[in-house]
Amino acid sequence: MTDGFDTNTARLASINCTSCGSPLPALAGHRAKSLICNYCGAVMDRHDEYRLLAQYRDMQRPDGPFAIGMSGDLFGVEHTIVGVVGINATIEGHGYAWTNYQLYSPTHGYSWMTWSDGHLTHSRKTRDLPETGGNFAYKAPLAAAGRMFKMYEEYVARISYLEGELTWVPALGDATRVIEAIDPPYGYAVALGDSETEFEFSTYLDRAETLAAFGVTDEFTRAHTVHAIQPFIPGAFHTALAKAGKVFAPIAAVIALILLAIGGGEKIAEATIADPFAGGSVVFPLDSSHRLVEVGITANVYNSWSWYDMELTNEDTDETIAEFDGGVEYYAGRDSDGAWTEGSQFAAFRFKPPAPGSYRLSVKAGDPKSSTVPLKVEVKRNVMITRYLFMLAGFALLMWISLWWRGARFESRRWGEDEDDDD
Amino acid sequence: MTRIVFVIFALATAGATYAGVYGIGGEDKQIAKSIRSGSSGRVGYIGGVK
Repeated sequence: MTDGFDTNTARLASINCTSCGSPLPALAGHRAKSLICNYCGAVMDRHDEYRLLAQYRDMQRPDGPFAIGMSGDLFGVEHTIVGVVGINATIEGHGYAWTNYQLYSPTHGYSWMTWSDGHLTHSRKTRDLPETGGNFAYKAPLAAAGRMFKMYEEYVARISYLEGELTWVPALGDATRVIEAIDPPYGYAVALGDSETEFEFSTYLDRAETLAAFGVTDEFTRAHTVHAIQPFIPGAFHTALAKAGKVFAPIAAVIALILLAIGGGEKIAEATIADPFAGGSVVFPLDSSHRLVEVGITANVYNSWSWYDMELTNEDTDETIAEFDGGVEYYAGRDSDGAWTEGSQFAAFRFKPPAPGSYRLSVKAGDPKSSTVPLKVEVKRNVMITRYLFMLAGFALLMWISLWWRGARFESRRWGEDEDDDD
Repeated sequence: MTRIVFVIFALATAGATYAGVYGIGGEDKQIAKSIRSGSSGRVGYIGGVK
């Protein structure tokens, strides 16, 4: 009944279905108990001369990238796909389906690889029983396998498709109550069957690596959901930005605060012009053409304004260096919303002199309707500005926070707490 | 990647500090434009208020 054939990498065998005669791969070890024909749905007992146990015709093969006979490296161990089981479940009113692939390794035995909505996971039975936990409680802790998991969901899984060699004798429609707990990228499941309880340890698999390992070209729809045990893995660029942002946001902010504290400038001249219409001037020395000079004017205008013409001249040559104008306006009052003010009694003008030297600033009221209140003029040199450092600190902080925000949103989607989960 | 981004942030911090200390870009446009355009030989149009 058995005829062998060779491939480049492995010696495979096949057996003819005892119901329809179709050739079926025989790849699993002795512990596999059943063989299900993918042509006629016959369930055969591998330990009893492939005796026909049941038959399920017209089963629809579930979606998935793999097929029986494919081999690939998982965790450094060669595994071969020997069986396929389709699963349906209803969780919180929504229907879900996924495909379990029975894996066989001559050295490591049997395990499962699961394809679920574009995600791949690997699971194996474990003898690490839960140390805590019992009945399912959302997000309740469950200690097992040396890890602290959080309970994720509870559902009843039903078999919807069978194919190939499996380690037990299944029946279509068999149901198992499952409690899943997660500690990404790992998961722990308690499968409560009619006669026994099994414990499984799961690991999230890198889809691209796994498909490549099994020689499958990834032409499948990308995952649109966050899997229960999918780890949050941001891109290298965003990770680098966040790390740098975490370091440089406080550095830039501290430097900005230092400049703010010491960068107000050194007062080098001040004058009060009692009659702005008569005008006045102030002379001051400037020792650098690279540092910022600030001319501050203060006038106690109230519900009025004042406008001034100003002229900067080189005291040595009397040559006009710059002409400019500016003013102050200040209004205050009270209305139904309370007291209000608008404008300021202070204005500042900043410039860099073309060369070191002695300068004169002349000021005169520039509009006949200007207020006549006295004007105070103050000149400071070596004024610093902080806007660039605060902007940098803000950007760095944004990069730092954005990674945290993405991670939080990822977690929210994992737990189904994000309304945009269906995006 | 991380090293490159750290270098970029370090350069940006140094640049922002330099620009802050030397007030680069902090000049009033009106005054800066007037200084650039020069005096054309004028002498104190409100110089009479000395």
